[in-house]
Amino acid sequence: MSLPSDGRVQLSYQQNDLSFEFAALDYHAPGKNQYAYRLEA
Amino acid sequence: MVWAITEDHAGELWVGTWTDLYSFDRQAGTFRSYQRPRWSPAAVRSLYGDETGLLWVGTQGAGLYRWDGTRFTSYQPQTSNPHNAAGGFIRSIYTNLALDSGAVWAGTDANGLLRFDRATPGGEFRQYTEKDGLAGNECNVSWLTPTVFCGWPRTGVYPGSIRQRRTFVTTMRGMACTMAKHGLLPEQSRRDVHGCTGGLAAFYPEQIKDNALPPPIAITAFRLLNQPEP
Repeated sequence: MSLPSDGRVQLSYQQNDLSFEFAALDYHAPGKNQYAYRLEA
Repeated sequence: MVWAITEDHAGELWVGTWTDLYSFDRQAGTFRSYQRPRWSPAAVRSLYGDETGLLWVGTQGAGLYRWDGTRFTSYQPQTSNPHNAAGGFIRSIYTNLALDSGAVWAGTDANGLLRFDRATPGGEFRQYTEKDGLAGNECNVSWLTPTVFCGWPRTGVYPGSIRQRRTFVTTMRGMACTMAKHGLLPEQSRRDVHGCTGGLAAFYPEQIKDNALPPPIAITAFRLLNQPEP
């Protein structure tokens, strides 16, 4: 399964273990990039 | 030791020292002391003469004073640091009636930024610290642009704008030094110069821009059941 461009993924109940890696594309002061993410039910 | 010199709106020259405040009589070439009883001794760390003729005096440990030509009025900020009473010491002061309702802005050595509302009867302080987003609690107020600079020795100096009353944090690169004194160049240069422990740093405050666009985020990997997906 590839990640669609709209960011939506539909998974079956068996596919219950997933992970992401992400990066902010800002190289001005990369050490100061901060991330926030949220899990919603 | 002289900590502060300023010329007020009427052209009077004021000098603040460790123990006293003086005005300078240019004709006689002599200093006039404003020590007790009108002036309780406290180190004068900063002075600002505003366009209404008032002189604002920032002290070490005794808060802010206003001199109206006849008497001093004392204003004591209640700051969040109980070990550093009355705002610690006030490094610099700026006020302008056309700006922010004439609020008096004071940068302190360890208590962040103080905003004194002179329009409120009796005056009212509001304190801004690291909790409000300042990069440090050591702040200076520059009267060139005007700009606020807060920082901490190892993190450098972070400018923000009084004019816009917006967040005081913008990332500033290439200034990994502690600020000692700013405003060393004349106003015509339009440049803020900070004397640092590591030398001098100069820049044009109005050229410092916020990056209003959040950087794009890219998902670089996606794994299902620990298997990489394309």
